Amino acid sequence: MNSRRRAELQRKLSLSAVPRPPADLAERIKRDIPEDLRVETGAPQRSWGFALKIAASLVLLAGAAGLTFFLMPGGAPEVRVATAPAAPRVAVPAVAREAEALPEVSTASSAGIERAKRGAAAIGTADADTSGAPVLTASAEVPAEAARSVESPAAEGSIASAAEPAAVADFSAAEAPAAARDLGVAAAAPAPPPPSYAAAEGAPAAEAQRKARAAAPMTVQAAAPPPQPRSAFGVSVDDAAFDRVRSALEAGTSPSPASIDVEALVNYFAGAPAHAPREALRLDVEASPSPVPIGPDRVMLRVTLDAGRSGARDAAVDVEIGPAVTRVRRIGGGRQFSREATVNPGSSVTVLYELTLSRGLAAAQQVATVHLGYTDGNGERHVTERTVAARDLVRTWPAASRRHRLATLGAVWSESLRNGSMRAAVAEQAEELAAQDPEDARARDLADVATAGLK
Amino acid sequence: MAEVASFPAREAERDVSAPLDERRLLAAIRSGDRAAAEELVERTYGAVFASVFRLCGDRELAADLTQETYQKAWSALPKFDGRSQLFTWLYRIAYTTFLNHVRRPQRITSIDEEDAPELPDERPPADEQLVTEQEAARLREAVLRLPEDLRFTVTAHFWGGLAVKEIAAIEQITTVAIRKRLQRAFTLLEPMLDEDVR
Repeated sequence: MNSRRRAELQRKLSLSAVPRPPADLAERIKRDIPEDLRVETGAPQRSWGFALKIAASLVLLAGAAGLTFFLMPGGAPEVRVATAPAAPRVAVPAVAREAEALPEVSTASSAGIERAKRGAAAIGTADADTSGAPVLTASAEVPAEAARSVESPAAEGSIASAAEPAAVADFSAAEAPAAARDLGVAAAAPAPPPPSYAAAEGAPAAEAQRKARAAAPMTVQAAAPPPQPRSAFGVSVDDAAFDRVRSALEAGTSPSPASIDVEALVNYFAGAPAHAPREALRLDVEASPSPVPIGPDRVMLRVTLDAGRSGARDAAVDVEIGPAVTRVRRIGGGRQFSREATVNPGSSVTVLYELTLSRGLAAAQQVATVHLGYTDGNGERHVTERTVAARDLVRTWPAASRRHRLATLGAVWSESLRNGSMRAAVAEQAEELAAQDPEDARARDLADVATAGLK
Repeated sequence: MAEVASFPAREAERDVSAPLDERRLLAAIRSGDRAAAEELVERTYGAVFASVFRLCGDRELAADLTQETYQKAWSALPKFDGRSQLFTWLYRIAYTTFLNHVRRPQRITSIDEEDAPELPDERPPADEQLVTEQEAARLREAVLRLPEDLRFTVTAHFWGGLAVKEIAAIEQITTVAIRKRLQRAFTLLEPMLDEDVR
């Protein structure tokens, strides 16, 4: 390359135009400054992790030295020594590995949220829904990373076609790396269970409306309820989906597979939170084994967004599946979350994923990270994320929150309508769930239809 | 040209008192001085935003990634030993934040551009742009396709404004090695110049 061309290339690299940052960016960044910035004095600034790594290295060195001595000629017979397995790490970019001052930045836990291009901030095209509320139709792609496969039809062993009961994977602190245990590092306590879902009392107006419709479907109401959007973030939230299925079952007919809107049914059973969130948009993430056995190492991940009283706009959600997952299936077959220009106050949307996990996960290994960005009613931009590591998985389905149990059992029931599998097991779980809270109308609905489906 | 916070000055132009300023600022932040943290933000966010924008080419995305960069920076502060400059450290975090973003397996599909609302265009007028948008996009793609060591060196130097000496310190190699990386990168990027001519 001659000097002229080199200079031209350098010029182009240096002179690309840059717009001004958004006017509120500095304030947004300052709002994120932690309350307590203090760092303990004493040089060098080292973390517990660094000290543990040094200690682990010394232990390994001592072990290696001892082994060498032991294996010297004339010594003891050859023995096999099981070395402590290296703590599994999530793949990190080379630049992060080399940095001396970076946090554990990895593809797993640190990344911000994925967004659409500027055009995605649009009010979407209206679909056939005439409710008038902004509706965005999803057109996202199914993940196709080479390291993992995505099953779109239900594969053998999945929820929709479980062949025979199998042990549900136990994700306990016993999965912690041996080195960490040797150094006396306690595995992190499991996260406290999320608040349980409670329906009936305190339920939003939509619940009362649904009951009124179910009780007197032919009654003409003087004041029509506000129309509910049929989708949010590209997820079907059609609240008439359950009534359609129930009507068919009560009439003694089986609903056609095409009429079973699994996504909408999941959202029906997930319902609204017991209390309206204080924030404009709240992210709730939970993962547990399936309510019915579907195979080892399979879990169900729930991602729920609840809008507060003020609503939100320009909201984007990204679900990042970690390398601990070998297969992922979005229940209901929907596509990606789409960017939502306006999130109605008091609305909720839930999506479920069926994940197949690698064996022998370390407690800290990432299962999924959900990223959320939105602008609240005051125009402030918020960015947040929730990570589910192996240690965060709820160990048994009954230990999960009530809302999670309803949503996941509703999903399994919905899919069983299509293929007839696991109906008895679903009905049994539904009856037990309803019995635990007789005031929970949705649990009662699920038990009723699950039992009716057995006849 | 748009008003954007300038990159940190090249080493030859740098105020010799700047490193002391940074040390004082860092010490103040570590003692819990919020005003010092806000001063750090004011002094650096524009340059961080510009660097990230040059990496991703999207103003809103660059703003969000910039915000996340500082979130990570506050968490990483205990581990920062001050051997590199504050902006260098911030740039590394921003660069990695961007990489993590593009490497994530799932992406949200963009909605049709035709439905995009009219947002105020704060970019400089077209006649002031020395590099067209198309050229910038092609250049960005070409740079991001470089091998990692070359990619970081090119983006840190030209888009992060880091001096060769600073990059050498981060990468823990010599400045000669950094200059060789730049040469190799230029060789790989050179065909792009001919594409612009077509």
